[in-house]
Amino acid sequence: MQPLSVEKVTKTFRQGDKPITALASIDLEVQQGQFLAIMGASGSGKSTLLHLMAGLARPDSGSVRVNGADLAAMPDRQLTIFRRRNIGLVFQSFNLIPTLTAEENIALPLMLEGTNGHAAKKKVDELLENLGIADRRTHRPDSLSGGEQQRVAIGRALVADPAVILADEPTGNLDSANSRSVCELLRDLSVIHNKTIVMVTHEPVVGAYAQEVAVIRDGGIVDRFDTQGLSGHELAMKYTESLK
Amino acid sequence: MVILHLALSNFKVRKVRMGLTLAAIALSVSLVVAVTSGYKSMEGMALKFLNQYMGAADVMIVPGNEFGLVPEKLVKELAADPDVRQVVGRLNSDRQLNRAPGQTGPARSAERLAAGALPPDKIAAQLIGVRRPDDTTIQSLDLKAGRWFKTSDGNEAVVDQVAAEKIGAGIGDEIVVPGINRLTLRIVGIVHKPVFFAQHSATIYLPIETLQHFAGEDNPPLVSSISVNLRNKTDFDVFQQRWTARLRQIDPNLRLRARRQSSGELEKNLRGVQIASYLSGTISMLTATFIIFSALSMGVSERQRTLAMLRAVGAVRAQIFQLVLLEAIVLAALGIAVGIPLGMLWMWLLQHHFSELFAAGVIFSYPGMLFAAGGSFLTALLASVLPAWWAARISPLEAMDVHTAPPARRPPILWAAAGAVLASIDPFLFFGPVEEILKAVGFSDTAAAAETLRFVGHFVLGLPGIMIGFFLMAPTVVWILERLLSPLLAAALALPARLLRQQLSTGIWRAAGTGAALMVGLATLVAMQVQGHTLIGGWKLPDKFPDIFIWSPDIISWTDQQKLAAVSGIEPGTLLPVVITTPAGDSKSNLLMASMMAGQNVGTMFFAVDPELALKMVQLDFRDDNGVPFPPDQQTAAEVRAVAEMKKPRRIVVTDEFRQSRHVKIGGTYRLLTTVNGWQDYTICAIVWSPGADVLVSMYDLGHVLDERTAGSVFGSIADARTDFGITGARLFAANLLGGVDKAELLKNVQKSMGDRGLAAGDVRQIKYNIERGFYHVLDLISTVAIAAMALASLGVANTIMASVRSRRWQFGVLRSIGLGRGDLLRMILAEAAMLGFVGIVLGLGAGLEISMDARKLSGAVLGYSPPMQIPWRIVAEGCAAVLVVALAASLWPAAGVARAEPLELLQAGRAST
Repeated sequence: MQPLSVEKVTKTFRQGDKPITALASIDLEVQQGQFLAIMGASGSGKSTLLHLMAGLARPDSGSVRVNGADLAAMPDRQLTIFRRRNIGLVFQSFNLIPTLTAEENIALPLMLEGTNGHAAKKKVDELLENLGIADRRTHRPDSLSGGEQQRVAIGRALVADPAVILADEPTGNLDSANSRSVCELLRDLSVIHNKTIVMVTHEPVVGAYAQEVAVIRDGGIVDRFDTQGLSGHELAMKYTESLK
Repeated sequence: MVILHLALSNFKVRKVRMGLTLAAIALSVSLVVAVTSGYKSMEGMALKFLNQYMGAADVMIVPGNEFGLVPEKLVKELAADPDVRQVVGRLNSDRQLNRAPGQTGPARSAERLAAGALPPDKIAAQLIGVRRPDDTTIQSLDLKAGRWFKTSDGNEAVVDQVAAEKIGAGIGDEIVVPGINRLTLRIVGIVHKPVFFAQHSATIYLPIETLQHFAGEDNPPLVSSISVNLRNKTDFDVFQQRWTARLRQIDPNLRLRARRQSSGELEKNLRGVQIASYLSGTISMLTATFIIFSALSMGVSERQRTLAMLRAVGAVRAQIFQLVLLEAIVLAALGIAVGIPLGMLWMWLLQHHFSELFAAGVIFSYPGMLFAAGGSFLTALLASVLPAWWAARISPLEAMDVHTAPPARRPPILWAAAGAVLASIDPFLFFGPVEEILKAVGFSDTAAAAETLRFVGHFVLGLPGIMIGFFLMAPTVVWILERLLSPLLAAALALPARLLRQQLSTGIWRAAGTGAALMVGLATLVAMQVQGHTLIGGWKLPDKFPDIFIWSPDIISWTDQQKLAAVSGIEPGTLLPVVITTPAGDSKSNLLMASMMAGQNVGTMFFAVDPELALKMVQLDFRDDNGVPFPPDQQTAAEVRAVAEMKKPRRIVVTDEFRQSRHVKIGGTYRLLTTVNGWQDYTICAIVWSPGADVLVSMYDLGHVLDERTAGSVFGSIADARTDFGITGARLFAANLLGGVDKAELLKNVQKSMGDRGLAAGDVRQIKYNIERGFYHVLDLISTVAIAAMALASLGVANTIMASVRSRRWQFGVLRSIGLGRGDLLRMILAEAAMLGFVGIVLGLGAGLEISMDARKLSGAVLGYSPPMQIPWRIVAEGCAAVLVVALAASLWPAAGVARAEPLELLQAGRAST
């Protein structure tokens, strides 16, 4: 069973009176432990695709399955709980709770689940160590750097041991050093810990950290290729070529 | 636990804003505690005084009306009863005494003196005749100096400390009491009385037989009341039954009153104050409700991304709903924890500064505290429902959106429609086809059912419906006013109009909640003042009315009245004696009146006059059985008929208010309980309307605290008063004056002719003016509740402006960067506060006037009297101005804060916000 599959998914929006097709009958499959980057220009539908994969929006037609479960068929409460347990989300603007500390933000999904015991604390401590922010555990987001905040967000996405991690432009608000650090972290999660990761980005140098790139244009997947052996520049060339 | 954790973490970060909301709740709770405890303390003081100075007797024998007396022989009879441990009788008499030179009282204007106010060289004194050595209960009084007199006759006296100071007399000095026979007393002792009571009337204790002789009540000896203390284990009900029957044989007018009855009656008399204390508490909690709503809805809209993100990472809707609810409950709990001690602190401070008002100490009202606590929880829960529901409906997708939601293009019409429906409930009760509906559903007595439905429905459904309805209409009012006022305010404040557009509608419910908080105070003020002015404003004196009233503490016999009639200055043939008595036992009470008077005995006041002279001197409006005035050409005929009828025995004229409340007709009979001949049927020979009659009723209703209230008045003849009530003279006289006569000089002439008997006189117009002035003072005092609610609402305004400023810091940073000056920014925020104020004004005026119109109809239904509505526009305008000032003042601090900030600081702060 694949951790993530998208079958003939269509999504349209209304902009004033005009209907806009964001996704047109898209098919996509992601294997266990795969790190896939979805690249495309602004307005290509990549973020919409990610939202559908996360269960944050519902497709007009088609199905999105995570671990075999059809997200579109679930009622809101079931979907929310499913998302809590099976999908980790990393946002461009971090989206941490400003009133909670770093360790509390990481622990949030477990707290929502009602899991507050010793095992939960141990898990959070481990993540803080692995993410290199153990010494910042009691700090609130307003006193963390961008890179640190994103690490906390990644920690939160991992704490419930989800089937899939979805990252929407995770390096969008970071400088190059922090971007590199976050990308390496995501790659290690995939390679070393066999996590399935789907990352949306418009930056070829970021996409190069993934194992595969799927190029999306005008609501459809136009290309999908392996990034092994490709430098950032080569990837950029190939990406540009795919968009033509 | 996670929900509580999230709620508390939110409080830690938004300390100032939560602090303001918490302060509003705490102040509201403290107000309830202070007001209800104040009432309790006042009741305690009155009860203490009741016990200490009026006797802590188990039973009292009293006359059924203030003009009656009790035969002193009853004391011996009671003393012989095996159940009686102790029995004493006392005689009271009110006089005016001269102040000591140099002890002049407050200066009085000529108008007030003409109205009968005490001249500055006089004090009011109550003489209390005590039988010594039998009356040992007198020794419970706090004797500060000297001793008690030992006999029941003689000229020794004991005074209270304030009287001693005002008269300028000490132990061993003599004082003179004016009367038919002047009385000289020698002071042998001074007692302490709470200043609050002593300042209103000095007390002089003297031997009872001396007072009986002085007042002419010694043949047979009479007393004002008899106090009885029973032996232990006496069966009170048996005792009461035995002596009630005995008293009826002696004089049907006598009453046996148990101590618990007296304190119970005191409680009943103070019940209106108790209700007012809880009502004012409710008003402050209502204001706090809207403030909590505003704060919570602000919290939801500001944290939209955070709440969306919580949804994104797996918080279900129910958890988000609980989060907002829990924030409200925590705020309420903290508010109660602070508010109750704060209320107790207010009471302690009040006691410290006004110790004489707390003669029985501070008595905390635990039901009041419970009311405050329970009410706060309930209001917090109610206020949190809508914001919690909105929060739960936030989509997780909104976590992706960094921008605040655009302002609504249309007002929330559906909410406004729902609000309009709720606000229409009360007017429907009074102006709608209620009787027809009740008939259609099967009620036979639709009039009575409609009356009950209106009365109960007004308080249970109507008033809450108006408040909630106007709150739901508030967002639409915000939307409309913003569009209407923003260009005007922009012009007035020299700002670009586009900057002010949609300032409020980006947080429309936040603004609505704050506007509603401001509304509560103004609506309360408008409703109270309009009702008050309507009731008193409808009170107009006719053109033809006596020039002057003269009253005497002693009964002036028919013979002595000739002397009075001949006093220089009084127009010959116009001295009209007015004899007043109150037959008790009137059983025909209007049900609603009785319920409003909380079980008090409702009696009828009998005014006895010379009918022919009275009708000559007083303009009356004669009416038919339906209260419709006879046409002008038939008024004279009606008057002639009435005069002729009144010459027959047992005839009365009644007022239209009496007709409405007792359902009587011309030609019908009305049973009155008379002192001499028991129950008698009186025939009603006319129905009249004259507001001037209320002056007489009001004059003699003032000062009644413990006695039975009167609910109506009838006018009969002096002849019937002599036959059926045994009247031997009169204390009150109306008269017309010869042209150009000075009233003060007339009084001197009266004193010259009649002797210094303590007579007083007043121009009825000035009396009416004084009564009105007193009423308006009370109205203003009650209206302070509304002012307190407005002050409380200022916390809500401050909170709203702070939230609004915080959510737009980035925008302000941009504006400052491109050239908006500090002063411009300050005025922008003040303009927003002004708009909030106008929202409060529109809502407050609307709700207040609607409540006033409905209340007027309710008055008509309950009292049978519905004067034309009078709106005190000056006071209403002042209330509106106060709302505006409160809104502007509350916004100064946040406005100044953001105006002081540098542009870059604002840009960075705005970007970092959630």
